[in-house]
Amino acid sequence: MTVPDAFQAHSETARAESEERLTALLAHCLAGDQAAYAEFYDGVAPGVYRLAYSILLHQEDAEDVMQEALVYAFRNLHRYDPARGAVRTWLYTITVSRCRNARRRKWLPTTALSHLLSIGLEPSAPIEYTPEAAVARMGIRDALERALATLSPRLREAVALRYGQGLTYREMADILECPQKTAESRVRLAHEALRRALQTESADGALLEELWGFQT
Amino acid sequence: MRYHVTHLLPRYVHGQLNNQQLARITAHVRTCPDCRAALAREEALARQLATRLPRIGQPTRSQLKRLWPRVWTETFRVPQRAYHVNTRLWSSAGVLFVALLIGAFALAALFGGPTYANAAPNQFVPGDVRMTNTPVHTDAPPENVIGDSLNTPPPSITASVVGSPPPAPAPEIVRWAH
Repeated sequence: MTVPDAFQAHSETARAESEERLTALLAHCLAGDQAAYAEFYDGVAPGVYRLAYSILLHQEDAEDVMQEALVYAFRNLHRYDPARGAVRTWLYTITVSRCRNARRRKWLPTTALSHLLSIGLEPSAPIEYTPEAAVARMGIRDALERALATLSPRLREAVALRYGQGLTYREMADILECPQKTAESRVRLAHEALRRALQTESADGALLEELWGFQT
Repeated sequence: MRYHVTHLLPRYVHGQLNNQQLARITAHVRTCPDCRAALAREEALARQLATRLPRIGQPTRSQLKRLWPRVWTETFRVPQRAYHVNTRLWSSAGVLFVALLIGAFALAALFGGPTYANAAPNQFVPGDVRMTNTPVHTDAPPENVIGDSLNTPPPSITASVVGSPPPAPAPEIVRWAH
């Protein structure tokens, strides 16, 4: 069993239960139960926001996308077809589409500005080894976020869906509207690109070493 | 020949290998410490990504609470009935108008003849020439001899050619019937 499969296995049951609950809530919403809308929101909003943030890496844009996606979903609940996929898959399809629109509107840079600014310039001054700087440099979460920012939008979508949401390649292909093989290769390319970005992040490879040896 | 299998490791950790490639990797890492170490690193990285990436972008409770009223209000907002401009209709009308204009110009260019200006309504009339269509019969002898008047233009007409006013049409000359 490979690593992501193992990661998905433990959450498979939880996902099935969540899906059943969402389907029931959706039926209540369609019946006009206003309390069901709030409960539906509680169930899906964190995942939708997380997906939007992982793709856009911008808090306000992610909030806007989440709002747009959920408003669209609530207004078009009757258009959801269970035969075509799970409720979450439907919501993530809407979210990815809205993220692409947001990216087109804002033409968000896919590379960190600090990285762009450092190209062609003299080497930066040596980093001061203060405790604060060390903490900042060792922040794996921040490093991962910066590494994500170096990916192309398509690869970031793949990473966000595969790693962030734990979806299968089949579900990814449905959401990204591409063949399953394409989804697989995007995940693989993203994995390799993230490794390279994390190696670049710390020139001595200390960050990657820490990531490899870090026990969660 | 390529002995190491490092190029296959990302596919391996993501479960994208066929059975033949899987068997090759399994056999190779047993004997190759470098590839075994590389495999361990790739697996660790994939595990870390799968564990840590879901934590990126976790919304806070207050954030979700703040966003809910916006979602609710926007979902059930009754759209305002604004003055509706049928842009498609107006743009079609505009295109049609321009096409008609171009067509009219084209037809005029193809079938229209040259345009002439009308003669000036206020024409220069020499003082000694009567501008009439009907001959005037009189018993009095003419002041000028007819032959002279035919051979030489009246001085007033000559003056009119030289002068600035445009040349007037030749007056009808009253002939003496002999």
